[in-house]
Amino acid sequence: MLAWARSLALLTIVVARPLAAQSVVEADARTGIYEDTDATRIITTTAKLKVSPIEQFYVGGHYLADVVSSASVDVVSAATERWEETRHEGQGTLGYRDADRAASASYIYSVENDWRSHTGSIALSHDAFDHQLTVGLSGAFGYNEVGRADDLTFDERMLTGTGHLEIAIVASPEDVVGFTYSFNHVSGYQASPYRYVRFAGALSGATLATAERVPDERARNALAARWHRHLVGQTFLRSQARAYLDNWGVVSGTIGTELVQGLVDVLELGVFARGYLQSGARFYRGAYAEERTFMTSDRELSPFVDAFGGLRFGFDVKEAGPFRSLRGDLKGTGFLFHYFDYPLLSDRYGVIAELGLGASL
Amino acid sequence: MPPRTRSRRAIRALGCTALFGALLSQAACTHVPAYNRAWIAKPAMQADPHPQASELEHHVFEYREGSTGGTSTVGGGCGCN
Repeated sequence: MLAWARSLALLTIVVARPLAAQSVVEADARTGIYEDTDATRIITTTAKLKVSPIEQFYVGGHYLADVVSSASVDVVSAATERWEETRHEGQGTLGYRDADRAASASYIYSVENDWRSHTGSIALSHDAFDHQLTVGLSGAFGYNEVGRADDLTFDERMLTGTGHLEIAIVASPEDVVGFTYSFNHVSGYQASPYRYVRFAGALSGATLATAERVPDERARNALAARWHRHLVGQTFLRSQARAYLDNWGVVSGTIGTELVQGLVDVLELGVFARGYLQSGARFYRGAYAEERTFMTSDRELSPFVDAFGGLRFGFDVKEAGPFRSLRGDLKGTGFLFHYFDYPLLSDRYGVIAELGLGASL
Repeated sequence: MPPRTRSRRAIRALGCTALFGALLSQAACTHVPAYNRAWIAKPAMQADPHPQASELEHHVFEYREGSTGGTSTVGGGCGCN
């Protein structure tokens, strides 16, 4: 971990410092380890660089790697053994920002052994009424190629379109509220190529299995509200709520809050909690008594509840030696899921540990 | 679950979010002058003060929950871009 931090500092100084003579350069890196009681471990590492060579304009990009190792019940139900794979993601952004407006365009390429995707997005925002109101609009389009390991004949497509409309309002000298509406449309192959569903045969009564089948179209809507409030001294409360509804019949509600306490000028402690409850998709069954048009054993489409909570400790030092800013944080999260109607698993617990470091020149 | 019950729950969830929003925004008519926005300009008041941490977090939620969307990126109108 020390070598990793040293490499980031070296990268920032050696690569970015010549650029920084007349510009602002920001470099950030983050790594996170996810581990749960369903035999799944994910190590995610990301490195990000943002350069502003001309005032008001910037270019940026990130590289992300997800190393996944799993032997979950989901995998076992597909009659495969523990597997490991790595997903690579690269992103590039061009952006503009002045006192009132911001605009950016991004492209993301992601690849793993059985999946390849291209995503393009644009985002615009505008401050109005003396910065009392901010309105933002963004959209993204994604093209996905879905394959199956060791099966070159399996070749499916999935298209995604997403739009967000956001507003943020300065409600008082100590309150900011915001609202977001998101619409997401997905068309094409959306099942798992590895997941099979068991059902009772109509004639024999014997247990049969078929590949998972879900509808080709999914329209998803989310409406969220957030409220950030300064409480007292260096104490802030950040709260949010979200309602979600889609045409597969999944309905969910999310609430979350974080209490942020500034300790001294450069240190910050955050305590956060989040709760989530969802209904299952209308075609989901814990057990199928007969073959149906749509059948899934995806636990993410089953009814369940989950809760996340943890601590984040961060620092941000301004004007530290050659750096305009040196920042970092350590975050620990614990979580639990309870599935109401998923025969293979009723509960799942886990932890996520993250370390982030960044510097600006 | 019967479709009618599901629809009622959806309407109730959307209604609660809208009510939450309406209650929070009822103070928005008050103009806050720039010199009185010291607290608003603090990182903790921004929409997403830690974007890299948020990306990882959303990554976890998107893969393990049946919902998506509603995340915020637009800031808090502090004029501190």
